[in-house]
Amino acid sequence: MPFTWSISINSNTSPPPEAQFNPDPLLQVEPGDQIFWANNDNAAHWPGLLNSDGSINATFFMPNKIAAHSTSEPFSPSVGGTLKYVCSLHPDEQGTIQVS
Amino acid sequence: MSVHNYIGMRWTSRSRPLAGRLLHFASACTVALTCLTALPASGQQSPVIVACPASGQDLLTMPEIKRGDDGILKGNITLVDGMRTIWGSAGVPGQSTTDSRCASQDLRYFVGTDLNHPQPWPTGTEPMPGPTLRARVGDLIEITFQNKINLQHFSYSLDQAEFGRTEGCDQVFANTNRPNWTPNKTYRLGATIKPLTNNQAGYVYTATRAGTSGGSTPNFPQTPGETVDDGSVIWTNRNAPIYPTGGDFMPDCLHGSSFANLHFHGTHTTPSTTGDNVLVYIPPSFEKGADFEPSDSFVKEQFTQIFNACEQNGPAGMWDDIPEAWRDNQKKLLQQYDSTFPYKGQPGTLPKSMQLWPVNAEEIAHGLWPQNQFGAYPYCFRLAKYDVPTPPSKEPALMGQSPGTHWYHAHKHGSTALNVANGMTGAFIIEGQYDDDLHKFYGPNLREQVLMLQQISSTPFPVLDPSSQNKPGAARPPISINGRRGPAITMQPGEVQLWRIINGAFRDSVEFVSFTPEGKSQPCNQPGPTAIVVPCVQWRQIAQDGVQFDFANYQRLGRANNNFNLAPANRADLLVKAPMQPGTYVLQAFANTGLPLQTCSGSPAGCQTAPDASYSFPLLTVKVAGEEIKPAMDFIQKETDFPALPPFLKDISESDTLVHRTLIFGAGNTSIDGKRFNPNQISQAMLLNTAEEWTVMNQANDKAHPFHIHINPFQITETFEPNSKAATTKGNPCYVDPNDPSTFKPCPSEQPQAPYVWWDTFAIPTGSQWDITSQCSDPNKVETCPKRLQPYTQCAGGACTETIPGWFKMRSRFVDFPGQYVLHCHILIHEDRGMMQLIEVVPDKTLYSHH
Repeated sequence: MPFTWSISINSNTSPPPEAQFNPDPLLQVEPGDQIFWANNDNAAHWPGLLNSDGSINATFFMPNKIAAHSTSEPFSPSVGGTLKYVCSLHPDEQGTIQVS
Repeated sequence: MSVHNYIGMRWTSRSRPLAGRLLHFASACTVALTCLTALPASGQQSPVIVACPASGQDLLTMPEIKRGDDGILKGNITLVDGMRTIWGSAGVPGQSTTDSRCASQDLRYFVGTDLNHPQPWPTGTEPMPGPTLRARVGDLIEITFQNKINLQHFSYSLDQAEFGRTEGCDQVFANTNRPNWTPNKTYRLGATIKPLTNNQAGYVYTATRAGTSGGSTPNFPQTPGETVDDGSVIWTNRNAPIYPTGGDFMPDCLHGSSFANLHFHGTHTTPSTTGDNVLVYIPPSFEKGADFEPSDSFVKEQFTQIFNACEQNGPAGMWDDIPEAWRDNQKKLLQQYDSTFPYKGQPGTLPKSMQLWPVNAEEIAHGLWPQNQFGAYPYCFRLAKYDVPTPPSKEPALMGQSPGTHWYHAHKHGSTALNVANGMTGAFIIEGQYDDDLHKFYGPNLREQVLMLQQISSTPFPVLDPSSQNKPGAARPPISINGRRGPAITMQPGEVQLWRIINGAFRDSVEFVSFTPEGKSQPCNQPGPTAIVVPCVQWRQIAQDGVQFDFANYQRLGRANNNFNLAPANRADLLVKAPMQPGTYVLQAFANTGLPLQTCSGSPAGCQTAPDASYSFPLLTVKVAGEEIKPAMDFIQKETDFPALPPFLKDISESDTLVHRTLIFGAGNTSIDGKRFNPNQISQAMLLNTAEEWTVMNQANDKAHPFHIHINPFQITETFEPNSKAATTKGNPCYVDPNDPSTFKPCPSEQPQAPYVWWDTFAIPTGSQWDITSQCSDPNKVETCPKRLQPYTQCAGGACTETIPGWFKMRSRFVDFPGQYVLHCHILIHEDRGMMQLIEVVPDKTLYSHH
């Protein structure tokens, strides 16, 4: 059965960036697992997929931003690979999910 | 009859607000926003991938909360959470969806304490069920239930009305294990695939035009909603949630929460107030330093009063019967929840429709028992004893509690699958004359094993089957027993043990196939002239669902090594006999979603095959070792030695039945009689102290929905199995010809025989489905199909499908206890998504008089 992984979005003690992802990178995930973001920051964040051409696909993981002190819906990767993501609201906040 | 017995409860139509992570800090705050800035980093925990525990370890024995000599079972069951080691998915060998990892993951589970065991137990990281309860027929059960879930350890599996954007349903995005895109393949409308190339972002795609795919991989668009042509198929990038889907709305959707309650599965007692009442919701206690609110000491003090009154007068009838201090405290805590909990992430903004106290206030004003009970609940009820009144009733009970193997589990609608997947289950052994008779034959030292089969998982979401379209499939949590996979039970040579087996899986059925000597593939108990006779472990079944067999059924169904399939929630008691020769024997089992499913080999054209999601696995091993028992123990052979059948278990005759009903469980896994669960709608009302006969149908061809009804067991008197071997073999007198409805009838040679077996959960035989589009002149109009098939046919989307439902007939007595309770599918995801009905047994007497 899928395991459930969380990525915390924490306020950065020495911004910028304003927030950091933890763990980063997220390792050991397999297709079918579930991943969600837990936003512990006081601002909203919105992880989106960083495409290879540098553009951001904001809706890849979830359709909406994550409110402060809230969690995202779970996302479940279909295939293996490296998913680089970036906050659609704060492009200097980046992270990686390694799907084996 | 006391008017107290009239008291029931109703859900409201409002969304059930659930708990949230912010509870702990918010509850301590007077100005919520000030506290927000003080929120520590989330305590949510990701799994830690760990080495899988070795299989073949000794079976763990669950600790027990036992009755006292005063006829009262007193104990505490507390819902807590912690990191426990769980397995990836099991499945058909070689499938990509099999996951061999193990991980330490935060789960919710039960621990117990009693006077003899002040420290909560069981402990440890193995995902064991809660403590076993052991009582006796006629006993009073007093369980202090406390919910001490640490909400900071759970996240999206909380109600999203508090944290997300929906009105409460959990959402899961993207998808799991869709089938790979394949060239030159026919795809139906709505088929969903994942391309392994030309899809750098790993999206999934749905066929928005049916057809045949091309010879090479198209360039799949990387933006949700965009399309690409592929042969004659059009694929649309789909980033829609897998759940909620198919019309899921609150409360009939998966909304995993940390609210809880207890269902005492198999008990014959009151469904109201402090009885087997699944209509109460118990949110987690507020954390207050090292203690909780309500505090342990206050709970103990107040519940002592409540239990004392229950011992005197039976379960409380009215909320006013509960001590005022407890009622006032409950009001205060519920109002505190309402004023501090977040709504869509904003503390203190819960709309009134989602608050808990107003619901209680309205229910109390109408004389009903309030359903939101904060942090703790005093379960108190008596296990009915035949021919003796169960207070507050003064009438002798018409049915007694059946002594046998029962169980308890959390039953929070929308979260039941999650509850049971996390392991919120425990055995409930109720002893009686049955046990006395067994001990009379075997002596007081008859060894007993309580086996709780579970499918442990942190989520209730099914892994999808890559070999079929979108269907929950072959890979799912493996079956464990008392927290271990493939555990070993040691028996002495020549020993007979009593095994009490409970299928506490949230999804799978488990067929007990045969024992096999370790290292060999030949089942040692295979019947027939070619069988290789070797010394082997053998079994005979003596009870079903906690109700003992009549001796005739022991001879028939309980013959040596007779296969049986335990649907979720089914129980079986076995006498298990070890041979004199030491050795190791493996019990082979078969995980499935019901037997048999529809298969299409040799069937007429149009058969819609059901995906086969079953697999074989070793369930446990028996090590025969140690000192020989001489003379060897044996199975009971004589009727005079077999447990005597209590008079209340005599057959219900057809002439005794007052009302006949038909219920239809749908193929879509979410409805009964075409409707989802409506918390404000009573779907069936039965007159107290009458018997009825029900025909319960199943339209699905890929799973035998396990029908379960609370409070009263029932007898199966007739079955119709369109997918049985006889029904699918041309030339057999029982052949079911899809073109000839006159053949849609039970097979006489395969019918249950009187005396009938009692059950409280029965897998409804699967139906069969046939594509008869070619027989209809307009594939969108049923009236253009052959007239004889029209009652079985539905046309939609240019296709007409004939469904021949499987069914069973059952008879049950709705006696002794009026009140509202539920029936539902025990594949618990189906229950959570709406395959449930609220029902009511209404009193047959009134206080009104005539002059």
